[in-house]
Amino acid sequence: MATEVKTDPRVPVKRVSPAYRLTRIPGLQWLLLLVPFAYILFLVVFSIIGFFKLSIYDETGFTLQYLTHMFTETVYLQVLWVTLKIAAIVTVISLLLAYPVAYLLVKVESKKWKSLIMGAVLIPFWISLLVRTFAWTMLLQEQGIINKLLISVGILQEPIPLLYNTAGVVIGMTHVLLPYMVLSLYAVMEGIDQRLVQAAQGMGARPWKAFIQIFFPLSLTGVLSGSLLVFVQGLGYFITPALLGGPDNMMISVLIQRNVSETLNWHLASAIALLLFIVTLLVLLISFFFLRNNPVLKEVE
Amino acid sequence: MALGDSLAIVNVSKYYKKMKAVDNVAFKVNKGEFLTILGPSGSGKTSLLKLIAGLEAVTSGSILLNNQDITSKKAYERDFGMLFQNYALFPHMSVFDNIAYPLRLRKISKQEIVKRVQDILELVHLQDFASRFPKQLSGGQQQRVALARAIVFNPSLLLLDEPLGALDKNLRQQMQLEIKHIQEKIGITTICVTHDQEEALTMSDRICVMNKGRIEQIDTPENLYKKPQNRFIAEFIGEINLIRGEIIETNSGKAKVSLANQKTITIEMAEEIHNNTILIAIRPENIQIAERESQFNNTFRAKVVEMIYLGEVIKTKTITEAGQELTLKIPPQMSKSITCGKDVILGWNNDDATVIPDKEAAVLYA
Repeated sequence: MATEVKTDPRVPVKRVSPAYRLTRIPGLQWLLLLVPFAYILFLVVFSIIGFFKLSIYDETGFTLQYLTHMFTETVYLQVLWVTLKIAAIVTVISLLLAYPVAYLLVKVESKKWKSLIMGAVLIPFWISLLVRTFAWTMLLQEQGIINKLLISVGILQEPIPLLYNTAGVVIGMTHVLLPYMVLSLYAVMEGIDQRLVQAAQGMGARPWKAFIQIFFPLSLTGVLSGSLLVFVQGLGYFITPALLGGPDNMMISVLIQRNVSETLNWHLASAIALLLFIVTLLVLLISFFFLRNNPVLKEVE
Repeated sequence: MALGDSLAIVNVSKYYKKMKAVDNVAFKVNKGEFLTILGPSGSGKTSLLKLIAGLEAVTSGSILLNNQDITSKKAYERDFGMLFQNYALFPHMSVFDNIAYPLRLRKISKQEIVKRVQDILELVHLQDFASRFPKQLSGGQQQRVALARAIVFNPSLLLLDEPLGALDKNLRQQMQLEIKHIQEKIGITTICVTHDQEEALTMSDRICVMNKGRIEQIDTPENLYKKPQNRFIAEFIGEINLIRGEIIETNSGKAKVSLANQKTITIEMAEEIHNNTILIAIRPENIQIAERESQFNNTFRAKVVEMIYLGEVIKTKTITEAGQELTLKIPPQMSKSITCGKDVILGWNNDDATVIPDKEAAVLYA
């Protein structure tokens, strides 16, 4: 039985601020969520769907000619292959470069050094992408600093082409994407309990063995998430490959851009974009599968 | 089964920059002994354990295992089992793989590993959990796995770092006995670090009490409780009453002491005390309420000021005529006759008291 509660007239009603009253309006928090949700829905999802629709509809109505184009003309799959290859190379190189840096960040005890290294990693983030890419064209050209240095030291007899080829694209993209890898690795490594490594050493594991058997396996989630971030970003990268790449290693985003603004074949551009989208989704799905079966992430049943 | 080894710490010091974490510490742990290093936080007990484990290097001094110098040996060369406070179980390995890890490092054959892991799992009552991962276990189960992993390779020494700190009270008491039983069963020499005095008293053969990087006293739990050698030990372990007195004369180990209430008592002195001001230490359970003054060696007239009901006993605070605060524990049935504000006669026997130097006074008189 519910008993009626009467307010005591002698107790003064607590005055509340208007802002507090606002938060009491039922459903307000949902309204606040709705704004960003609507933003994503209308401006991102709808426009993407609208664009993808172009790949199966043209002036004549429903057609699969643009999509079949992807598989009948070798150039598209070839460009896709080059894209996957470059993204993979960039991912592997950034992983190899970033792992020691992230490990150092975790291991360094002095706060000053830590922020110094972190700053060095983050500086590229604060400089315009275009500036950085043009800087690379200065460094990598035949009469650029890198070639001159290698020749003056005697490693090279004559300048090697570093620009407008795969090497240039890989160097430029690695530079841009490296911080993402370092930060992903660092986030996971920072959470690894160093006492686990100590424990392994206490049981008789030499330091390198403790690292390989304990620390490295535990950092694999960071390796995977960092690689995923770099690889997926690498797949759709545009400015760097457009400026540093050449005709032989055209990446898929460059091809899309040409169809949009040069040949003005938006239907074909849409079909290529759909191809990239599906490949990216597949990569994400496979990684998700791997992450899900990781015992470290398993919770109490 | 391990027969146990002896360990000697010889004048070991550890400095962190200018801070003395461990200050010229020396003691010996006998074969098969369970020694606990007990101390408040910041006393240097964990630093000392890390030095013994080889996880950190000593600044000076040496560590001997069976009379052999192991000071310069690295952690992975020392062959000690260690149980960490947070258990340090490898989250990416199953219970079986965790326990097998030290065995695999020692290149033991597969069949032998399976047999030894199964045996040790039986010892800690976790036979059915071999394929689970650490995250799927409760705190107590994780602790058993960590213990199993620390002893499965028959190490020469078992080191426990606040082994029960993360468990709730009931489980902690149960695990104290279980660890003690397992330790006795396999006869492994064990050094445990804790700040919990109940844990230390329950499990240890001997306790080494540390304070500010130094050893205050090493003794059996009973002696530590009954015969504290100084004020720190007296106040750190259990509750105690300290009564200030002046030595009038000493004669063959006995001293005549005059107390604040103008009474003079004769009391045995364990060791030579050089300053005249001393403290008489007496546990609350050794002070009783007397009916007549002649019943005990010493009596005080006092007034009851506070009574706290603790279930088994009533903790009773009194103030004597001389202004000395004395705490005692009385059985609950006495609460009918004793109330706050009542005048009582408190009595205790000289045998139950210990004389300790009054450190503050020593500084004053120096």
